[in-house]
Amino acid sequence: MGEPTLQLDHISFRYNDDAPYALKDLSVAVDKHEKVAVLGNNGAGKSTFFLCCNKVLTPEEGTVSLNGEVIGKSKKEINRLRQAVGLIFQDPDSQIIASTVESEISFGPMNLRLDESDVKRRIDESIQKMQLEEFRTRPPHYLSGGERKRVSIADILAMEPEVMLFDEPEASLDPYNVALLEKNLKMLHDQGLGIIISTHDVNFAWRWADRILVFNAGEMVKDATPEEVFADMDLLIQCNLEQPILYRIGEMFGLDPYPRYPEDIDVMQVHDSMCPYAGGDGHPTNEQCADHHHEMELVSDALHKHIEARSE
Amino acid sequence: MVATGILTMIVVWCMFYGVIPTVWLALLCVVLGVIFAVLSRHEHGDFFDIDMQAQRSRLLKMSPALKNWSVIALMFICIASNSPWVGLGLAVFCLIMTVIVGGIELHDYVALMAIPLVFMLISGLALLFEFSPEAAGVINIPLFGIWMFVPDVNQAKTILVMAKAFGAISCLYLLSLSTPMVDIIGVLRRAHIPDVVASLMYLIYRCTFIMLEMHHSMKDAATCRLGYCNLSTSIRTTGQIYSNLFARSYKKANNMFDAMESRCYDGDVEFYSTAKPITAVQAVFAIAVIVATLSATIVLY
Repeated sequence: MGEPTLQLDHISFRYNDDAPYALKDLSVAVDKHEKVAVLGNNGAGKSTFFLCCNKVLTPEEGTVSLNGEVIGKSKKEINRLRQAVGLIFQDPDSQIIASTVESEISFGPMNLRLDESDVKRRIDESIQKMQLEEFRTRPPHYLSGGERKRVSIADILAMEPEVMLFDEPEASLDPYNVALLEKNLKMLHDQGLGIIISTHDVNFAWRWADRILVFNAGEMVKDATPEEVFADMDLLIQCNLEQPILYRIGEMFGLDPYPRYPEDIDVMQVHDSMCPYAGGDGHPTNEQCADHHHEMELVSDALHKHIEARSE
Repeated sequence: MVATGILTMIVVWCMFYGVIPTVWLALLCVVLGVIFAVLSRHEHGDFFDIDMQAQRSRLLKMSPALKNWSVIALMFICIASNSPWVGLGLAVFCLIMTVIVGGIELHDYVALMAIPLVFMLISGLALLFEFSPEAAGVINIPLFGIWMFVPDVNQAKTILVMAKAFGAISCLYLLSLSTPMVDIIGVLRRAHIPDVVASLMYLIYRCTFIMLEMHHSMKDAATCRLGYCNLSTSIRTTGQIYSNLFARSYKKANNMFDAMESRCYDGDVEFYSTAKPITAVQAVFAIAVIVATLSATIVLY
């Protein structure tokens, strides 16, 4: 097993000498192909963590490594880190500075001093991946929120990173654009990128992440799978987090495994967990239970058709 | 913008009184006053992005280098000329190129022109009027025992200065309403201006819009909470907004800088732009306009 793509070792950071530590003795490693969610309430240190990952904020203590190599202070090393670890800011307007989508996406590659042909190729590929062709020559400030978010992602994609950090990407997006964002995240992950997302949405973290980092008051208090994180009630209370609704449904009805998506809910299993006449093998034991079974089958069919129609 | 219309009428009256027949002068004042009072009106809260207009212009695809250097040449000729007809002629030419050829709305063009016009008109008043114990001008206004008057020499001087300024500003608007800032800076980079100057130009331009946007949203928020319900509240609200504006804009600019650093920003703001070569037709047209303007300047000297 090789070195992790991005590794932070014993990172500490504070904004000034009189302020409390925004990050305290943080160590974490993230690899390509990982889907990591970062949870924590406001002021827990999530955004500071992201800015330390690409050394926009220089940690007071600790090291940041890329593919096993510690990143020093030289401009060349820092640029290499920032090219490999792309950060998409919560507010796309903080990131967008150019007057057209095409020139905005070109900003990163131009800073890497690439050939013009390489810059053009990267712009074309990013625009195609994020489906921005019709907006190519339009001013980004006049696009909708969801479109600006796609521009800010295309911005970073053009730098061909290995890990992408998203700071609350679903904030201020409508449900349609959230679904589109999740589709784009799947596409990026399928291309081999490591993705770290900070979010307040525990439901999103539950269904999407392979691994969750929980922050509280500048410290990382848990680094575990979603099942382990949401089973730890003490942790959730300490960090003011709730259990995701599908997790609670799974727990309530004794489902195994707990559903990650609504379509994973086995209605028959829900019935069998509640009906006193249900047999252990899932077969009804009397006429009343058989009626329930029939109704539950109809409900299950209707639910799946509804989910399919919505996803179209 | 009614004030602009009234100011226009006053200055035009003072400039041309005794030069053209009074009836025609009155008509001219009314027409110009109405144009600037009506067409230069805007809704408060409008946010006018010149770059957006430039992106929409039909002249966008024309070589930015040709536009840039042609406009600079025309501006120099206009300022060097000794005849107001050169400045006026250039103003009409730029209006035609920007509005009719470029496709910018006349209303937007006049609204933009009204901004420097106010300063030009106030300067015009300062150039026109003098003070003396005697009434020695074409227009004489008694003022606390002395006379405020307009000598005919000042009229000629003001007409020339205003025409030059009007012509030069029209040339600048032709450039800025047909060429995005990125392209203008690209031309200046190729002309070997220092990179730091070019980058600063772009950042200052961008940050101006950040501050305008911030002001716009703060003003809307204050309006929703009756911050402008009467004069004293408006003054207090305005003071509070401006005192916060710098701090909030600074924070937003800081975020912008973090985002730029995350993309390996190293002090140079550079973007990719597709080449827009100079065509023969464009070159011939530009040269013809410059030669015509220069010839008019020499003939009318």
